[in-house]
Amino acid sequence: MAVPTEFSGVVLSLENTIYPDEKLQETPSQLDGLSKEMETNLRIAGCEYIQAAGILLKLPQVAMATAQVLYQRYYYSKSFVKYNYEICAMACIFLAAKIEEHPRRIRDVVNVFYHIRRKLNELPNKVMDYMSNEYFHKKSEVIKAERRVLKELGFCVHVKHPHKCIVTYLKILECNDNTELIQKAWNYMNDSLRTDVFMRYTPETIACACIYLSARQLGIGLPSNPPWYEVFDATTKEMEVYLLIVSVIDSVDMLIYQVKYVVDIIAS
Amino acid sequence: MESYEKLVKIGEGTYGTVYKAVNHDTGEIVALKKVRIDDENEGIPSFALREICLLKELKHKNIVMLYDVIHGNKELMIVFEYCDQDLKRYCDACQGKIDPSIVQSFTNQLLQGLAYCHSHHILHRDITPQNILVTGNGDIKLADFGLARNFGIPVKSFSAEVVTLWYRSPDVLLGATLYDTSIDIWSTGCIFAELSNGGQPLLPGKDVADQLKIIFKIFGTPNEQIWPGVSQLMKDKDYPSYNAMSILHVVPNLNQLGCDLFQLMMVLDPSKRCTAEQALQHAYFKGVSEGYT
Ligand SMILES: Nc1ncnc2c1ncn2[C@@H]1O[C@H](COP(=O)(O)OP(=O)(O)OP(=O)(O)O)[C@@H](O)[C@H]1O
Repeated sequence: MAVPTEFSGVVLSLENTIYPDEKLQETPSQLDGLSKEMETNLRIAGCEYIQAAGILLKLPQVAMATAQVLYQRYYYSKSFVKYNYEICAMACIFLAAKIEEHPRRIRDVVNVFYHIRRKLNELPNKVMDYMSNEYFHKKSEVIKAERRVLKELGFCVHVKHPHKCIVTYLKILECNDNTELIQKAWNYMNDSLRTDVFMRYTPETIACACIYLSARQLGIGLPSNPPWYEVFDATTKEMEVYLLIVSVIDSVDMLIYQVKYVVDIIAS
Repeated sequence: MESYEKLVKIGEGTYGTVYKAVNHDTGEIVALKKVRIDDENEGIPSFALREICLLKELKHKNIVMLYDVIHGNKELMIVFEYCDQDLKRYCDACQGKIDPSIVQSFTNQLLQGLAYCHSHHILHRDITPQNILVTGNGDIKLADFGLARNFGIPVKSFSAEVVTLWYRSPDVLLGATLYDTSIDIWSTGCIFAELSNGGQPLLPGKDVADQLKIIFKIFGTPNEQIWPGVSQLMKDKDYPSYNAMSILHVVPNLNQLGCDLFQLMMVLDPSKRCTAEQALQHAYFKGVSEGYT
């Protein structure tokens, strides 16, 4: 018996988490006529949704981080115009929870997003009706989206996070007692998930940049001759770190003005 | 689109059926693992997802190759390189006698695959003879990564129900929630002994309590001196106190170097168990041959 043709072959590409500049410049959404600004907003909004949903689902931070990276990567292959960002965000957190060994039921994922949406629209709390057409429709959309994300990313959904690098590097720099520094670097790292830095740089480089920024802000001196970060990653050119830092700062600023409210509303 | 034709069913796992199949485009023989997906429910099963994404990163001669994934709405087909049989069937066919050079070669290859996983920060967590495949050339391939996990990020606790009982390490049996690569070494040590004893399982316990009893009978009941912290793990139950047996009775067919390596792998205290890398450096493997050559 031959395998029926309804199956779609998935191309198993080699792991390639770093995208070339062209791919980051000419996104499918922009080719579909979406403005760059609007795309950035949808990226951040999706990530905020994921963060808020993850908190409500009591997932560990690494699941949110994985989901955010998957979400970002997906929209370098597919367009926001054709694929709903909210459904995709749901699929990504659903998927990431499985990848990180904290699976959540799809029903809870759908419900949490429903809850967040009602909050954002300032509607009163209400439990989702699991018998409703709306629920069945959402659920099947999410499962389809899960399959699309996996196919698009060729099952390369295993994300290496810089969290661990930060801890290791600070230990080597003998700064692992400085909780303020660790916390700050950690926060930068979580904020940077809203940007495309994970598509541009290795986890090692991102970890260095987060430490660099935090140390500078706290006025902590780190070895500069030769620069400390060259020790951790031979490919860490100064320019890369600099660019990265700028983009992290930009995104953090943007976050403060634009989308922090999602989590705030949930927390209230 | 490549099309595969199923030839025969070769295995039944907890979550899927494995077939021998042929790729019509290339004529290549493959193994097809078919996993049912209930689209009404929870999408892609998480063990299948983890198996695929971990195997994608592991390319090694002693780890089964993942060729393709076909993701339909009703089933998921995972295409692997085909191996003739699993180690359990291999042992059954040997009828109680396995050549010492095969024992040495298989254990060596197993450790090579494991060392590679561990260097990529991946724990297999379910090393059993059913999950080890043997090719016609005598190559060993680690398979079934459905329970495997990445330990790149510090994790507080893993689920305790990993590893088939007979191959489960004493620390996991005693309920330790934190564990590392040492659990795979314990399982490998059990298989090393099983091979050298002609396919006789070393520690065939009936349940967790029985499993611990069998382990303690052979390796001695642990105490704080040999395993600091063990009293905390053992505080809820009374365990009979046994002295360790002579290793010559446990693995009578192993030479002295083999016995020595076996003991390094079967240290009760997980922090003192040798690593796969260290085991590979052991003098027992001097002059080891690959496969049946
Ligand atoms: N690549 C392969 N070539 C030949 N036989 C295979 C292959 N993969 C699996 N098998 C056979 O199929 C059996 C089941 O496979 P596998 O262990 O991967 O399934 P499973 O559903 O994960 O089972 P379980 O988790 O219960 O061990 C194996 O014990 C082996 O006999």
